[in-house]
Amino acid sequence: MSLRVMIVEDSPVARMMLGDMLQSRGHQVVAEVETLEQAVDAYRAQKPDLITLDLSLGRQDGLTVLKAIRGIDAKAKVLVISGNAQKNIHALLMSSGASGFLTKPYSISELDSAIAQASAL
Amino acid sequence: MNLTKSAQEALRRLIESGVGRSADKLAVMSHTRWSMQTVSVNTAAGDHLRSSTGNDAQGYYGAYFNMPGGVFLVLFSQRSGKVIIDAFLSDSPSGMKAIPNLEQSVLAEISNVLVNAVAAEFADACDMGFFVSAPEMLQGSKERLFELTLKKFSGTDKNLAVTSYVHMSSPSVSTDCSLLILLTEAMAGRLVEAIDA
Repeated sequence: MSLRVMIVEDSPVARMMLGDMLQSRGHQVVAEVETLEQAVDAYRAQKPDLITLDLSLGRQDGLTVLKAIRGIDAKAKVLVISGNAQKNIHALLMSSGASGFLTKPYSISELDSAIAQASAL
Repeated sequence: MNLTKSAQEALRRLIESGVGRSADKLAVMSHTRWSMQTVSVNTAAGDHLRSSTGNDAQGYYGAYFNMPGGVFLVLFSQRSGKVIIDAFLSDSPSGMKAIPNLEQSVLAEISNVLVNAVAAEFADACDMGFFVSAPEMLQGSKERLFELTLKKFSGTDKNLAVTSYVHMSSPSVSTDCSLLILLTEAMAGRLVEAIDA
């Protein structure tokens, strides 16, 4: 199934690699943003099927973005993609409404599985 | 801070475990095997660090991160950095080459993954959860990057309790990188207490 995806990621390298993987799987990248403010604006404008969210975003952390987006739409599907694999952070994100978690670095098949799981919730 | 030899050894093993995870992740990203060469833990604070750079005047890329109770500096010599960047980009999208400051962006992303693997080892060991900052990229001699890191560490190094220096290499592509970890007395104490428990 093709999804409309918004990427929240401050690393241009990670953003491009993820965007390329998503498009190679037939998904449409509808927005690529780096900050909380951009994420909120883009979410309201695009209403994507899925958001991929990094946790290290310069001035803000991804948890703040997750809570802001879930505050706008409690049904928003957010897949966290991060190098931060701490058990307590994982639990905190899931209890805050994340739909899934994928640890960097990841393969395209791991991305496929994570998207399928997150978008099915 | 007075750490017993056994506490230093326990801390060294914890860091080694985290760096082992980092090496595995680096292997995936650079398409080559990595191994740890040395993991040292010292309580002699900044002076030890300043004297360890010797006459190494070559240029380095540094990626600086902070977390509650500590900082990290990932170091790549310019030669090693280029080898790792080339390996990372070998199967990347063609548009990647148009990214401004591509070299620094690639090393920032690689360093972010490396540091988070070690941070997770710390956090899980003492049942904490925290966010590591986004990377700040630096360039200069090893001595200058060590000095900058010490300055950033709470403004002075007076609270510095433990320094750890890790060296990793990948013989197949003849390249290496290093990780410097500085911990406050509170964080080092919490980790040692958790390891001992």
